[in-house]
Amino acid sequence: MRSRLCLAVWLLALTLATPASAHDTLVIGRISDDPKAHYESMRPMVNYVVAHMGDLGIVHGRVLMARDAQQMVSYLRQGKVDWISETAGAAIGLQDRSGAEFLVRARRGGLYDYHSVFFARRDSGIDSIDDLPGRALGFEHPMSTSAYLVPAIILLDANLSLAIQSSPLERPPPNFVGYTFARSESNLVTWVQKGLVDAAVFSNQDWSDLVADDHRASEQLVRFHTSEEFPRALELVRPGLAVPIKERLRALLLDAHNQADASAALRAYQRTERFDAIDAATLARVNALRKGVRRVRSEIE
Amino acid sequence: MGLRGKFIGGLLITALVWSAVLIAAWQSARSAVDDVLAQNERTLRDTARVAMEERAAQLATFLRDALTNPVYYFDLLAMREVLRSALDQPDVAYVLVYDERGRVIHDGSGDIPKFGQVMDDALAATVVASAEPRVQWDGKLLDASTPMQIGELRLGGVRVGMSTERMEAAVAKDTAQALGSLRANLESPARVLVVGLLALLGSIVLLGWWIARGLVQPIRELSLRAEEIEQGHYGAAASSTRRDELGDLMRAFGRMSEGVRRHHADIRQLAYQDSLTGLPNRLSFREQLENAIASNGKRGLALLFIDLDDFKRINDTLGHDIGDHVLTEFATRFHRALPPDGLIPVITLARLGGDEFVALIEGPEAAARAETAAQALLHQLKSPFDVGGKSLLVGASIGVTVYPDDAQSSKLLLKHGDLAMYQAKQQGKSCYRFFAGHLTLLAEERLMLEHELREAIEKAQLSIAYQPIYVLKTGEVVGAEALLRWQHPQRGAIPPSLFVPVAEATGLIDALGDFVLRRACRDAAAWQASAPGRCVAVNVSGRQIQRDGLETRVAAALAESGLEPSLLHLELTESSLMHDEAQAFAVLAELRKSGARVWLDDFGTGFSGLSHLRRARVDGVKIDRSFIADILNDPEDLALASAIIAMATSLGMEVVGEGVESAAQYTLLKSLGCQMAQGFWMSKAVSSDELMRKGAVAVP
Repeated sequence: MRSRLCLAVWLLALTLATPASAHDTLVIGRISDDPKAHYESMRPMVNYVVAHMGDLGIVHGRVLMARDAQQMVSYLRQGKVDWISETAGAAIGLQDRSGAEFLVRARRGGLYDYHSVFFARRDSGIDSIDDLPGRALGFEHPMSTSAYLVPAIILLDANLSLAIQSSPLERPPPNFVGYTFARSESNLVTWVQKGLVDAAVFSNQDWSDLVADDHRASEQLVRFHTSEEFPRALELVRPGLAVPIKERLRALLLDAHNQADASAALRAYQRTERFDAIDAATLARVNALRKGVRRVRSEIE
Repeated sequence: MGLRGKFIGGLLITALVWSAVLIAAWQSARSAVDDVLAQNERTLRDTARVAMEERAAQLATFLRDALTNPVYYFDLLAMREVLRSALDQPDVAYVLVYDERGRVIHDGSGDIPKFGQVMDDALAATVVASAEPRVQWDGKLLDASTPMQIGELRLGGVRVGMSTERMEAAVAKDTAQALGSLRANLESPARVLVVGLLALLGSIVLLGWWIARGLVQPIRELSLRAEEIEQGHYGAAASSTRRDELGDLMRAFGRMSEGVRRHHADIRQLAYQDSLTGLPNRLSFREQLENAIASNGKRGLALLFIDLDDFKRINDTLGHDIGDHVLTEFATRFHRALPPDGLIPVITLARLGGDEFVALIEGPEAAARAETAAQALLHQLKSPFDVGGKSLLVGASIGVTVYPDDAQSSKLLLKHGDLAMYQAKQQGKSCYRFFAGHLTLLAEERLMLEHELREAIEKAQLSIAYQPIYVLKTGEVVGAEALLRWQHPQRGAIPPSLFVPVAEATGLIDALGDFVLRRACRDAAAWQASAPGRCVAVNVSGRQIQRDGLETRVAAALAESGLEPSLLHLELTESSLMHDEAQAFAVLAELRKSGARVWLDDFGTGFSGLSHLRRARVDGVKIDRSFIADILNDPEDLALASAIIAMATSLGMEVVGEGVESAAQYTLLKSLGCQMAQGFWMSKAVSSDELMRKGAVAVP
């Protein structure tokens, strides 16, 4: 009796804290372990969009963060989040589990697509992924496309066995490629530099930012493998979002780079330059990636 | 040290002692403040250290909690963010995350240079080994460490190093503020102290000045004035407007100074001026002469030593008043002959005493000028003086000495002038003589004579010879005239004409006179046994008459000898009676009272007339030898002698003829009625013993 009352109170509180998307409100979401930092990157964009949806009855915009993919999937299923932006691998995962649909792709850093870069210390003796068994590899995060999903697919495709480690200092058995999540790209660079791990992998954009531009790092580190190109970022909407709203959102995003009042919102939105429609090539790459992702989920995790 | 010095010294010492006491008190307070501050600083530091230890421990604990997960995952980025936030805090010098073996995992920097290195600092071993949080000090560094573990799994630990610099600075600042405030509290009384001390010193200076001005300065002034007066400078009298005792003293001093000045002037006048003539006196002249020698010596100086001729006789016969007139008139004549603005530069005319004058002449040809001056003066004296209704001719003998030829000192110059004058007197008076070297011998002889005469009196080298007096009718000896004789041991008999002037000049004459009087009385008394009634005649000089007490001495000599008074004949010269008749007659009356007889000696040579004889009431007269000498050849002398004898006889006086040297003279005098006579023809002077045996001469 008492526990049942408690549950009721808890459910009520939960409902109040995260209400389902109201009819006059558009909610943008993101998986984040740093809501404070990410909130400000999305707020201008949702405001811009909402400002042009008044005729559709949308007058409010909201930002809602989720701790992990699990939670975001739940939000999408509940309709608490209308619109999210994710990397390709993560987007595929969310789509598989929540039924969300692609809306547009985003160009960031001048790129619609990017690829993964394997790197090691120049003195490590690692020249290709074939040298990796028996070595420790650093990934970033289980949701990362370029620094986990794509390289994991490559390793699986190369018939290498992966073994997760409890610490970067651990070393796997000789037939396995040991891996540890470093939780950030900069950790990956440091891990390799300091020898915690033998090699690491992240996107070519991270390489450019963290290694190529850093004199010492670029001297110490060397790329020994790169992946195929895959889409940089994708915008998704929840299943069941009203069509007028979905289409208006698509139209607004595609045209945003032409609108002066959208430029600030675009810049804040992870330095997005413009949105484009998802073309056939992109879709093909996504589908190709989707196969690998499913294999990673099944074989590694 | 003067009064002022002592007073100010005393005040200064007092001020210094007070200053020292106050400064010591201030130092002591300051030292107490420093102690309190040091204690305060220790307490502050201790408190701050404890607070810092707590903070460091808290920070280490916080970091351990925040870093456990990142360390577990080796999330260096997360570690860095946490560590950086810690490093951003003030005082945090370092943060270190280390593994279970003490190797550095992260230090908060971007590239973690110490990554993997075993911590090797002094505290590291303790830190790594410890299973408990620790706080350790390493000099100025505080190290707080805490181990990190998940469950039983030891991950490593976190160290936080905190620098005490800021804390020390804060403590120092606090201490400095406290010091400032305490010092301020201390220094404001110190400033009062300093101001007080300065005021004290200032007041000492003022007091010193006031005392100097009010007390010491007047005393100094008086002292200076006294010194000036001592040196003979009588400036303006010290005066003061002060109304206190010092003012009285200064005014009294001023009056005293004025009095001394007047007295000094009077004394100076008395000392330097001859009261009769108004001329400078001997003392003044000596000074002027010294000055002249000192200043004009090289130009030449001449000295006229002037002595009036026969002035003594004028004084004796005409009286001192006339003599004084003569002296005054002489001064006038001198200035007429040698006026101060005349051709001959006479520096001064001075009266040395008596009838001695001296004049000083200067110039390159001093000797020639002196001669001209002497001639002019003698010429001026040729006209008679008109004094007291009488017309007198007064001559002068002048001795001239020239400086520096004749003498080099003022004393010698005067002495030589005297000698030259004496020479002029010897050579006929009313003339001038230049000093010549041989004069010195005469002078020395005279000096020696004086010396020897004194010795003769003491050594009884003097004796008396008796010139017998005979009754002309019978040829018998009736008495004798006492004559002084000096038998010098080396030089033999020295005649009275030589030594009597010396005796008169030196005052020895008084002693000689008394000697003769007493000896004569004694000898005459001795005669009476063999030749009763034989009298003795003693010469009495004018000087003896003028001297008080002649009658007493006569009475004493008579009493001492026991001689019948009527047998003592006192012989006075005419001139000795004339110069002051009244006094002379009074003396004669007194002498007569003693019973002695009074005679006039050298009668006929004086200025006075026969009328004096009556008034003088003398017992007899002696006709001067000058009349007797030519009585046989010169009718005038014969007439005069006859007249004297006749007149004296008529007045009941006796008459003695002096200097009878022949039987003819003897006979003539007897025929003229003269009762008695003396002279070589009858007998030369003999000793007292011889006289007693002397018998009568054969009457021619």
